[in-house]
Amino acid sequence: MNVHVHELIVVGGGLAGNSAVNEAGLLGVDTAWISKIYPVRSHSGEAQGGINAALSNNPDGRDDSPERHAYDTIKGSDFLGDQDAVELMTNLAPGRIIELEHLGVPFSRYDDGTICQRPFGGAGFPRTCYGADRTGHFLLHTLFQQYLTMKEHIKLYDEYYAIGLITDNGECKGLTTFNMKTGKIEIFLANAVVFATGGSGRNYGNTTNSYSSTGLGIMMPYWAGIPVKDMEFVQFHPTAIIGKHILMTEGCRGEGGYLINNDGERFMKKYAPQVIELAPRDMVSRSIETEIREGRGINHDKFIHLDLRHLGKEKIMEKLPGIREITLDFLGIDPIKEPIPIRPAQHYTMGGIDVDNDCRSEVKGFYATGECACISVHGANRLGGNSLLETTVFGQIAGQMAGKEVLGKGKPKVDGLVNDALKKQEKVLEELYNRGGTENQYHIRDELHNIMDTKVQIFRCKEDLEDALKGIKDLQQRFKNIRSVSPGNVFNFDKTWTLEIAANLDISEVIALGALAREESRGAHARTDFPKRDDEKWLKHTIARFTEEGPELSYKPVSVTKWQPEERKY
Amino acid sequence: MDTVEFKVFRFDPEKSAKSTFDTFKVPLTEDLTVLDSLNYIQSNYDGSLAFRSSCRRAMCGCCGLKINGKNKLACHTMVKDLETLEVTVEPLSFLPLDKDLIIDMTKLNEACKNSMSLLPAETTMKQMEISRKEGI
Repeated sequence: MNVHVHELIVVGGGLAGNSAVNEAGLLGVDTAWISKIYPVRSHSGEAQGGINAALSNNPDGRDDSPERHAYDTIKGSDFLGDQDAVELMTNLAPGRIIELEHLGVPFSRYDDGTICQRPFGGAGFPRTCYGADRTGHFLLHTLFQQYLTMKEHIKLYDEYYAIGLITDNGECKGLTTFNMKTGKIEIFLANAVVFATGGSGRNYGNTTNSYSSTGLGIMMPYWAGIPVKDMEFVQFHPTAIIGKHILMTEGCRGEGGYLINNDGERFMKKYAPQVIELAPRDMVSRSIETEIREGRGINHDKFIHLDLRHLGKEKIMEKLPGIREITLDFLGIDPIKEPIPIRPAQHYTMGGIDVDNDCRSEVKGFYATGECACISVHGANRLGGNSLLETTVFGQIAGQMAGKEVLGKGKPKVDGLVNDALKKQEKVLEELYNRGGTENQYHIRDELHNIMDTKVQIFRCKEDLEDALKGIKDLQQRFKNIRSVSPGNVFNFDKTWTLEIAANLDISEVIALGALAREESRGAHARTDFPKRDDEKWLKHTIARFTEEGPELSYKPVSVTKWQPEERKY
Repeated sequence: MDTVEFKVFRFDPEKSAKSTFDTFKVPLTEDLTVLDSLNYIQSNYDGSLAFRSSCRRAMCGCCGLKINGKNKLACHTMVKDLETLEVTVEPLSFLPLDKDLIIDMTKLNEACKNSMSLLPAETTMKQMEISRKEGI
């Protein structure tokens, strides 16, 4: 049996995980970096538009400040964001961007050499620092290059698939993984574990997320007894291309793009008279869906147009070249000449593993950071540009906090715990992979997609959510009767994808249940039967814990320090 | 609806040192990509078919394969653009085989790491120390 003993384990190869390992490396902590795909292939690389910080480089942003950034974020979160955590993030933002610049990120620059910043939805000042429309890609590769300078401390376990947490006496001791190449279960032990495993969009069919965003990284701790928070808050990005649901960055609108309905009008003027297309994402998505429902989709069909033609060839080629490549390759459309057909799609998971401002969960030794965590800085709706910020700032914080916790303690000893953990994991998988039933788990996943795409969407209501829960429970029942997985050890994705589908089902249940229980509309959670925000009853975070009968919900207060909730108008 | 016949390279080191080809039929839709087809095959015909994929939008590079003899990204290759109803899918040919369409990337990753230009650790850490001290 292979046992890997380190001081610290970080799971996840994206921006948050990479930020964490780089910090651990700087502290000199012996770290295992586990990633199921080669880190530079992570979903973080898909981020396009930019990363927020109050640098005041844009002439229109000279009066910006971290405090203003915090206020915009909290208002954007519909006042569910924890204000102390938000201020921490916006205060650290300018320094973090400069640090990233020093690490070699090729940001776009103004003639005076300062980093370019573009306007983004819900932001009072243009503060989204960008590298053309490939910012996530640039950040990901730069941070990975820096890990290469710290290889004496960090060991990358590439294509190791995390499957379960190891806990003992209420403490996290490590995890079990598949070595994808051999198919063997390998154990990792450490004095602390940081999860940076990303979002959960693949429980939806219509999503901008990669296949790697499965939510298994959120369900693994959940199944181990760690609570998750605010799962009902799912962000639907307004501009995803029809058909493949590939993201068209908010930067398109930041650079001046218009959203047009069948009548040729910029309909956002009705819904957000001041900021028009640059309203926060939840508002724009609702507006687009309303236009479509009321028959004003293009040709009365289910999409509207994102029009960039008036920006001109030069601007598009300089600032949005990646967008143009996507529309040419996947739609055969050149945005210089034609408008782009778009419709909202699932994009981001505001909820996640419940952690505090230091990224600590309630279990000693277990940390979470990035999209898989919920502190909460995004509350009920995330502003564009704040996710790249969260991953790099809180990824660093998690690395520092976990690193300092383990520094000097040495490595844990290998003892009987390891045999027990292995036996326990083998038993669970033995049962899961040999059910010998008749159901095809991939068809079950497709049916789940159908339920989530129609009933747990931008506009929600009691009937739809109850139907969804009934449908999900039915699929969970049928999942107990799935066929046995393919035999074979080497790169057996049938095994890992089956585990992911189990996670898709359970996470959908948590989302739908939280949405049904929350009888108000706030941020991205819009109830047609409870259309108003209700601060008296609902200014609180939803906590969900795993039980055999289903998720058990409870609630937790929001940290309100500076800004009292007010009406959210743009 | 037209049907596309996929000849897919299969290799299972646990079964045999020899590789084979399996044939699958996939219904041709307007925006069907080669990656969509592989997913269709894996979900409906043979769960053991192994291939790498992640972003499905030509960003991550996972799905590099040899399609009708040419090296391409499977997620990026529209089947209708191949202008044939017979598609052969094989792994990239310049690295050792692991399983089916998966090749061992170690050598390639090492080569990339060795050739990567980056700010050397000393400079970087010094800069980070400075920027943190100055609290910018």
